[in-house]
Amino acid sequence: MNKNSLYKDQFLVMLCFLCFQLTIASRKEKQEARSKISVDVKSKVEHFKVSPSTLRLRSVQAQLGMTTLHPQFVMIRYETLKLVQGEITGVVLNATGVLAGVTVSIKGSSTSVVTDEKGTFSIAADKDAILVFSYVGYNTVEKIVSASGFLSILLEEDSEQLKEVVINAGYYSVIEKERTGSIARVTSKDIEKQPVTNILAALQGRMAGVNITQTTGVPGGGFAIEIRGRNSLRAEGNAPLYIVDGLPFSSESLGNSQLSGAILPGAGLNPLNAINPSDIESVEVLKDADATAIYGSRGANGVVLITTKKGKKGATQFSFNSYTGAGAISRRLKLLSTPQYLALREEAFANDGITELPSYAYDVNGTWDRNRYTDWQKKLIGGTSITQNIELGVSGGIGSTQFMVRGTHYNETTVFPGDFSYGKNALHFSIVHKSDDSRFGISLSGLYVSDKNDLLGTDLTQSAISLAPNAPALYDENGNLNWEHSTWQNPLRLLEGTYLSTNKGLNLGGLVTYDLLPKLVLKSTFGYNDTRVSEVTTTPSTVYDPAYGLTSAVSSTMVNSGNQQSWSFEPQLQWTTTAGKGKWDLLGGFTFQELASSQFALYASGFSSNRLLNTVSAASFTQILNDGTSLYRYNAVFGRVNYSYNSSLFFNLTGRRDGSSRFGPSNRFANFGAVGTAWLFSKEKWVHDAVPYLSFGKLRASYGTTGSDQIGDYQFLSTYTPDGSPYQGSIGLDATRLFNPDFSWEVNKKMEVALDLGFLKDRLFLSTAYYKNRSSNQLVGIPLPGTTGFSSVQANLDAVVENSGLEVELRTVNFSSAKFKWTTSLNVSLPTNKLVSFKNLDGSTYANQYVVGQSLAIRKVYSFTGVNPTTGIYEFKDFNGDGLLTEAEDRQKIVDTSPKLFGGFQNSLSYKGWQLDFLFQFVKQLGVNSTVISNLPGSLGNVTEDVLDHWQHVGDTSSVQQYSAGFNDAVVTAFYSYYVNSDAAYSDASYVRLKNLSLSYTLSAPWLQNASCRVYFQAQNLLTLTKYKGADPENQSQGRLPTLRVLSVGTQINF
Amino acid sequence: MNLYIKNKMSIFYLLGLLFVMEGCENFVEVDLPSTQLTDVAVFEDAGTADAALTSIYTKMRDGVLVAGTGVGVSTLLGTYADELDYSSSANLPAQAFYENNLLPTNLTLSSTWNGVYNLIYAANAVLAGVAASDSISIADKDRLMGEAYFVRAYLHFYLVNLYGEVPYVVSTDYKINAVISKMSVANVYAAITRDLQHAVSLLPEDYLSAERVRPNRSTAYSLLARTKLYAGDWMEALAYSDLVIASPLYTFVGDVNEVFLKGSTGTIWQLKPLFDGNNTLEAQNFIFLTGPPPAYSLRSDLVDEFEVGDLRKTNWVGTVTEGSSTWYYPYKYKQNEATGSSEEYSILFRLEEQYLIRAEAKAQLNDLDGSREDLNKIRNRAGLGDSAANTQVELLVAILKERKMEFFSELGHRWFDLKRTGTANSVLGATKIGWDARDLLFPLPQSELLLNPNLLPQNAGY
Repeated sequence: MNKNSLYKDQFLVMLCFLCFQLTIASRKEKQEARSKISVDVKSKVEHFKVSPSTLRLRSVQAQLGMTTLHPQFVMIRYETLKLVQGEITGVVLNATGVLAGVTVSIKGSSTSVVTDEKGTFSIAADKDAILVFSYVGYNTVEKIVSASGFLSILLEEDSEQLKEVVINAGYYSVIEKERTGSIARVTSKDIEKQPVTNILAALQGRMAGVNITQTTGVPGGGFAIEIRGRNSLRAEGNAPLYIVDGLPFSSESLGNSQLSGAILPGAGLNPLNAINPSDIESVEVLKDADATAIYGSRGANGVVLITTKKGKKGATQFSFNSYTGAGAISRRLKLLSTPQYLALREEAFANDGITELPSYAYDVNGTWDRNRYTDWQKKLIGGTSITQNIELGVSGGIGSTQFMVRGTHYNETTVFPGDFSYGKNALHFSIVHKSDDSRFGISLSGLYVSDKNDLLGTDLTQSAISLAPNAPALYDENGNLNWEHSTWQNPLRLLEGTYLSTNKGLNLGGLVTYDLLPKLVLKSTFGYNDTRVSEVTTTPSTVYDPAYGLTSAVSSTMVNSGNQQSWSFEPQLQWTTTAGKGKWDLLGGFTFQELASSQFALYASGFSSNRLLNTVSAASFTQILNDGTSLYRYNAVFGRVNYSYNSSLFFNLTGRRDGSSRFGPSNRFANFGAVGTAWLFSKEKWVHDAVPYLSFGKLRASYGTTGSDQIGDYQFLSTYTPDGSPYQGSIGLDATRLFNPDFSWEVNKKMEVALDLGFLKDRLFLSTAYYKNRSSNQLVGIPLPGTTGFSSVQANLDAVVENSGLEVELRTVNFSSAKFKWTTSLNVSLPTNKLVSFKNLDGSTYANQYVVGQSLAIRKVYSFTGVNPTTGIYEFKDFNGDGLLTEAEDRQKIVDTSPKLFGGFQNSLSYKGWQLDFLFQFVKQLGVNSTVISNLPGSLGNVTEDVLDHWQHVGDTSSVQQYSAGFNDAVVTAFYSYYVNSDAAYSDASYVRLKNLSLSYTLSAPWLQNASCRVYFQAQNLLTLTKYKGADPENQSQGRLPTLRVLSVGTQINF
Repeated sequence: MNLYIKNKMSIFYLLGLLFVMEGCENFVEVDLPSTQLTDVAVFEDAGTADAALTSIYTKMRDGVLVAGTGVGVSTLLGTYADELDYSSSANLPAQAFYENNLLPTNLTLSSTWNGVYNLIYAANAVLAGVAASDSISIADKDRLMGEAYFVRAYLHFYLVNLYGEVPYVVSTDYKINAVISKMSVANVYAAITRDLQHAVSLLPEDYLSAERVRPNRSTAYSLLARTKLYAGDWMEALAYSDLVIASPLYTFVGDVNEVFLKGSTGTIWQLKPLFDGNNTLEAQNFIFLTGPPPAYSLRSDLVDEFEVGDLRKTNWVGTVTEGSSTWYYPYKYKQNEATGSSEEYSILFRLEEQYLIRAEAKAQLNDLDGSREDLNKIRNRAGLGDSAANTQVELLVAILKERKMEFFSELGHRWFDLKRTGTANSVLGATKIGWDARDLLFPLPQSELLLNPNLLPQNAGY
């Protein structure tokens, strides 16, 4: 089954490659012809003018002095030069080709035309009239009509003046300078510079208010994202809504954590892997109420809009991009050497009063070689991962149709020993078409990704940092796994068990538009998503100690397959009208969405041979672990009213009525809405007069409500599910959950005010936003004590969580000349998270988790006061002074692990063909350190070097208590019960990381003609500055692989 | 062209509009998936109600409390007391038990606690669901409820003996159970007795099938006998064990090698393995072929305590010898891999215990001859002569020792015997490094105390 899909993937890639090569061959000829004709055309224009109507193909050929020319090609050229007597004609070009859709107007009159798909225009104009050529994203050009003739106008891209940029706001687009909402944006320009496989990795540090952390360095693993902080008390209820080309994209994993839990944290498989970063044109993150209220119940945690690349008008373009990279873990722990470790162990036994070492103290009692040393971090997680990426693409457009096809192949090996890898093949296409009269338009885009993650079953990081440094050799002299007479659990036994997942995702998005009237547009988006995941985890008998004498009869395999199909349909009507200086933009529509998913997981055991582990049918016993299906339906009506006055005052009103199948009948529908406004005060004359160096000034504000329904399906019902295990041959039934039929939406009220200022023609651009979001009616699985039989129940809590903060973005153009350009951008977020109120908190099960007035990311811990110089044991503050340390009364110290400040600092420098970009990401925060998974200093297992400063004699002052091998109850309790639950387990986890560095050189040589070639070097996580006590300040997930540092080199060719 | 498109578009949008008009209300109403049943539906049918009950046995067999795995009481209490040695460097759940070093944060402790209360919830849900059902026959209702009462008592019996004062949960309402308080040990025993008496009145004497894999009335009597023994209520312990021994369903197995076979006539209640052909998890957990032992082994001082000629030593203890070293493992269950058809099931109640309960009750009540007779029944089968104990005190000591030799590595019998007879401190204090007095009770799980302060205070010493 897996082999087949592998072949299919390879076939796809080969097909792409074949197309690519074929087109290169035919391309060469065309290229020559075209360059010739474009040279010749200029000189022969007069001829055309003389007798255009009599032009014939043959005569063109003759006049141009050509004998072999593709007929079609000449026809096109001929048409572009078709002239109308008495009018001004010409062609508009940009750096790469002709430019369609450029507005050509006559200054001081209302006459205007638009360039056609060949970039040509014709307009009736008097002599000495001024023609104005304008196009979004380009500098406007004015040209005085001197004499009737053919004009060739070159428009230059306006990269600094972002205010003309059109931003995707989901259901509508806005011009950057006119937007009323808070929207952050990252484009392919930045995404392409990073050798990453998950789009969230490419956004890290680039957007104010968006905090992204990588949870593991294992390929295919997950990322956590929080947009403007934690709104929900439920950790899993803070995911944003993802929209890919208009279609909601489910970020819920179809993986089964029973299979993947030991290698990938959380739910395992990350669904976003199904979106190939290099296929993405832009990512917009909607943050405030104005931008998100139109997404109603799904907008509380922000919306991430992903727009894929589309074909561009113009000649067919081929692109080729390939890079190869090498990765290694970014940080390591400093652990004890063998002599240091053995000294610690011996001292520990001596402290415990044990003179005869126990038989199982293999490390010290001589069973293991006391002179042996292995750097387990190097051995188990110190390898180099090799990354390879190849992309091929074709795009272009003829007439009013454009297309694009792109294929990507990606492969990444791991830093673990053994032959493991993550591979991905992606195919992306897009077609855009408009009818001849431009009234009807259709666009369709598709993403198909097939990935395969072939990993070991268990992350070796925990073993790497906890094995005794003199633990035995991994292999015996015969090359077999060494069990050293059952005295240890060889970590490489874990390589015997494998984890294999394949993930195939198809995402189709479409848009149909039809202009009913010139200003009235009917449009509809529709989309379909199909995701199929399969996972296999094998546990052969060889992972067990041979002392048990087990055979393949105990070998087992777990299989999980998950399917998800969703469709959405959103018919909309859009109407634009002007009334005097005012302009109205109205939008209304419906949403229908359905998401059906199913999961099937199977446990199979009892094989006649370990070779058959991947064949479930060869198992003697099978047991169904999960057989679940669910259906989610969502329905809404939404609208937007936008009014702008004189292009300087803007009002934006959005609203939505939502219905969701996730709620009981009495709570199924709810309303959400927002109002946003913006004032472009720099347009006011008095402002301009008073502050002439102010090139742009905008004040905006918004307020509104959004909601959240992220709680899973059917939670309001009391149900039983088959438990999968037969008793007396029939399967039992399990109560699925404790139920509460009455829960309803979580409501999030958002407020924002912002000021955008541009100085000196926007060479210095400063955006400042302040927001305050309040999330109430908290929808949570309230944690319950075990006596209820369950760990939680779904309910609304009368609690309010507030996220407020300041976001500052600064962009400067430090230097700009034809040859050298240097721009800098900085974003800083200062978030505050606060539990504002919580009715009856003290009486609730959250009493020891939250404190009103504090952040949600707090921990109530013991307050560590140091090592008692007399007893040599850790001491903690006895808050209630009763002489005892008790959980409820003495865990009163509050540690806040929410980020205090985060952001990014990016520089872009270009000189001639050189381009250098680097991004520093920084976070200021407290975090849990490696203490929490540390072994008790003195027990079997290595520890970090900082335990060396320990107590030995009465009167010693030290940071670490006396060693113990585990027999001194007071020492053990002080460590495991108190120390790891005290503020000593939390320390500064702030860091500054050179997240990305990209250096490229674009070749320029006459022989390249229209082609471009770029070679580059890219690095991810190149450098980390931190005082963090642990492996990785970013994921802080102890025992998981730290994020990798990846260096890569590559080439990009376009022609 | 233009008109054509217009027509096509009109149809398209007309369809869309129809869709809209179908009504939002209906669209977002979805049916329950076929993989779930509502609680009402489950208890409309005796078959599905039975499935709700058997899922409790499945969990007991595979992972909760009495499971034969490394987190079941046979292993954990065996290492906690003086039955099993622990020899893994892998920090298995049993290590903290072996070192008598349980902390309130211990994850095995909290998962045991949570797992047991989850099963108690399931039993309570069966009781409530079956009682409310109007389509299940009276006979089925009685049997289902009888088993649920029995299971509820059985699980609480372990809780009260492991943790001391615990809540006795009889409701499915989480609002009540989330703030429930502890009950005194005497009251927990009273509640257990009440539930077992309900079970006795409801359960049939005959087994549902030939395999004795569901509790019957005698199983409830057996637990009543054990409960009364632990509570020191000798008269009742005697009476209930008498009832079981007198039942024609059970005959004393003469051959030690047949005691743990699935068809043993001395078995009162056993758990059937997952599939036919599977055997017990106990065998998988304990048996090893080469030394040193990968995880657990029988303590050599326990093996040395067998009298010469004790058939249990030769038949129930496995031996691994390498060079001059010898290790032992519990070998009561012998099949650690699958066999053509299952040969052994995990036994939870067997007749021998009832004999030793009766022996002890009789000794306490000064029926020394009667007591010796029951004790000798066990000894003789093991190939040993009659007990030499004469006085009441000697007999009680002999019975305690006989229980040790008979029930080693079985379900924590040894630990509970040491604890209930007040000998734990003296016996374990002498042989276990980490032992101290607080260890008589497990600590209540920290997580539990944080979520429900009504469970405070923590057990003394933690």
